[in-house]
Amino acid sequence: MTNLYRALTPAAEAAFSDGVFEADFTSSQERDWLDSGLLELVPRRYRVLSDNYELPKDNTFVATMLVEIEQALVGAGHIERVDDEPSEEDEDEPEDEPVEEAEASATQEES
Amino acid sequence: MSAFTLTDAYVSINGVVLSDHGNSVTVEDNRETKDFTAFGATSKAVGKGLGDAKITVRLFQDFASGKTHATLQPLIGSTTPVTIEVRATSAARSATNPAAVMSALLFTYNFLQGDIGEPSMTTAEFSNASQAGMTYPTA
Repeated sequence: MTNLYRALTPAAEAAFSDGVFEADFTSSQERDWLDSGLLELVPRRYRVLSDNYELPKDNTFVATMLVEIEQALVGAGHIERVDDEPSEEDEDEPEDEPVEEAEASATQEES
Repeated sequence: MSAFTLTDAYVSINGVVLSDHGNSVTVEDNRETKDFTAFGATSKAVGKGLGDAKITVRLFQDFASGKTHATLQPLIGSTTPVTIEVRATSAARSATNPAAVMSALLFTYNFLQGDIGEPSMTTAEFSNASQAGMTYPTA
């Protein structure tokens, strides 16, 4: 399962990405990178699905979770991700599709 | 709080409250015993070594989503410590209802144990996984 990270040094940005990026680290890789101070976890939003989590069912909350913690809670059906994509700093990312093409494809779908 | 009967203990594992599936909990906060007895002594001199902590919970097994097995099974394969909290009652933490909290790894998970005609129980043993050891917050 992937997690959201932010590179904290120029060296880490060169190795990974500027700003927020998604990566599929193992738990030990994640621990090494976080302990090194080169990366930090980025908070993401979750929704409570079960009736025995520490927050009430259907509540949403923002948290940073280590990959194994998140896997355990998501796999057990306690929480789910609300936003699967970076929500904090993804405004800088360029649009993949020009506006005209997007409109054209939308029109095709409608017809 | 005076002496009391344990009826409403609170058990939270990785943020998941499993009190309604538990019927036994043991919180252990230990220090190793070290022998400092030297020649000439007439009695043993002992001191404390490293600390250790352990929480053992006995739970009714439940394979439904979000219940006992679904919550514990991922933790036995995990190397990331989780927070486990135990209180004498389900009331909020306070001076008269302190919590025992530790960052722990699950070292023993008995998937199935029991006898014919008896409720299916499981025992989970968590051991300390941080330098903080067992803490006892009241707020």
